Amino acid sequence: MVDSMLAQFLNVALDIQQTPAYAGIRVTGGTLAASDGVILVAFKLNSEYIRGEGMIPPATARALAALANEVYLDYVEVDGTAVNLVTREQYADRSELLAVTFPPFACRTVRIETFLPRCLPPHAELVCEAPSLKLVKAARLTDFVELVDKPVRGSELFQLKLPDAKIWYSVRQLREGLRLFRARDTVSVFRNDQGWLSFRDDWGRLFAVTPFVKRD
Amino acid sequence: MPSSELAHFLNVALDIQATPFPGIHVADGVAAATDGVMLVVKKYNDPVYLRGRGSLSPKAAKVLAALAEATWIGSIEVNGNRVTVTAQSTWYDEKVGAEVAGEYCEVKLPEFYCPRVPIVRMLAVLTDESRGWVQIVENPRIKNVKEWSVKEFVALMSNPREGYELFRLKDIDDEHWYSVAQLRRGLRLFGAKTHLSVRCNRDGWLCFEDRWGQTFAITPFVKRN
Repeated sequence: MVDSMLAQFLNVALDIQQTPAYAGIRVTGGTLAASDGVILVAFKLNSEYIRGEGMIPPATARALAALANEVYLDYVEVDGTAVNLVTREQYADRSELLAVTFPPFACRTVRIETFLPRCLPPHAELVCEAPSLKLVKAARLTDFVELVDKPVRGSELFQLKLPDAKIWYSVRQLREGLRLFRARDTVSVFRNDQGWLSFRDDWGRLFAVTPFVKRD
Repeated sequence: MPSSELAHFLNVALDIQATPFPGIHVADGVAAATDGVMLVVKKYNDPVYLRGRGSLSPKAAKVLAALAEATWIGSIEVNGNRVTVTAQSTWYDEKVGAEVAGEYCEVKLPEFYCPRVPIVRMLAVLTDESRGWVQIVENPRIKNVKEWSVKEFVALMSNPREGYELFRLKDIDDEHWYSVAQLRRGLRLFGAKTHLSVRCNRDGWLCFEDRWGQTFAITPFVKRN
């Protein structure tokens, strides 16, 4: 069985981490995280499956995404910027373990995990469970949206930004991060006191976005 | 330093290859991919760089392309469906303030099944004198192919000359013609200012070659009476 969820996360993370200062995917304690300084995606996996601590450089992440889509990975081990993985090669009569070692590539360590607590309780409070996010898909990329007054399960979470909005979000950024989830995933939405909005599903995937704030 | 040339070839080859000839096929220092209509080839004269014989499955080729886009690939060894490459590691030198190259590391990719293709026999067709290959022009213009719609079909100019357009839109009485979509996909192999040499055989097969060992060959649509 291939790990298409890991492959999909890596592909979204690769799209996001394109700012040179935030290049790479951070690995620590079984969690993968990537950011561009404005949005953040993370995937909490078993620490036996994603082992070690360090950064997965973009090139290795691309190769890893291609592999995760095609073969069963026993585990992935990160040591600094070097990545080792163990996969199973399937033959008609047997399966064999194969260790694949990717060399270390230049990639600065960015401790993205320090932002994760700010996106979840107790630092952030639950806004809504399983809201509708259709407006984000229907609106133009250049539009901005804000949260509706009292979001409820199944109803629209966003409305187009009004002129007097104090905190608002970019549709482009939301759409980029929400690709992490599938259409029917149940997503919980949290918001912290700085307006950071985070979306989390039951599989350990998280997407957080920082807001635009009105300055007086 | 990335192996941009290799990465580019792999990406074009991945786009071209299709059933019944999936994958990128390696023999005698040559890598080739085909879908039965088009063929892209890269010859490495270095016996160390690309060695062995076999097929890189599209999956292995994707992984290799990702590595080549990031770092220098020192060598590629193909043995059946098993691919082993040496990739140069890099690290960030705080004193220099830049990325510096490190040592070569061996990366052994998982073995993905990919059928073998008689690539040597296919390449021999491109130089087979009995098929009437003739050099038709050196360094022609192929700007029209980039401008016309991908749905168009084109034929060769009657007297192509260096620096002038090689193709014109197809006429109803042309014996051989080519798809702009196919030409455009294959010609991506070459850079914009690459010096191309064009050959053609009596069956209308067209072959574009540069001075770096890259070849793109395409078979024509043929008028049936």
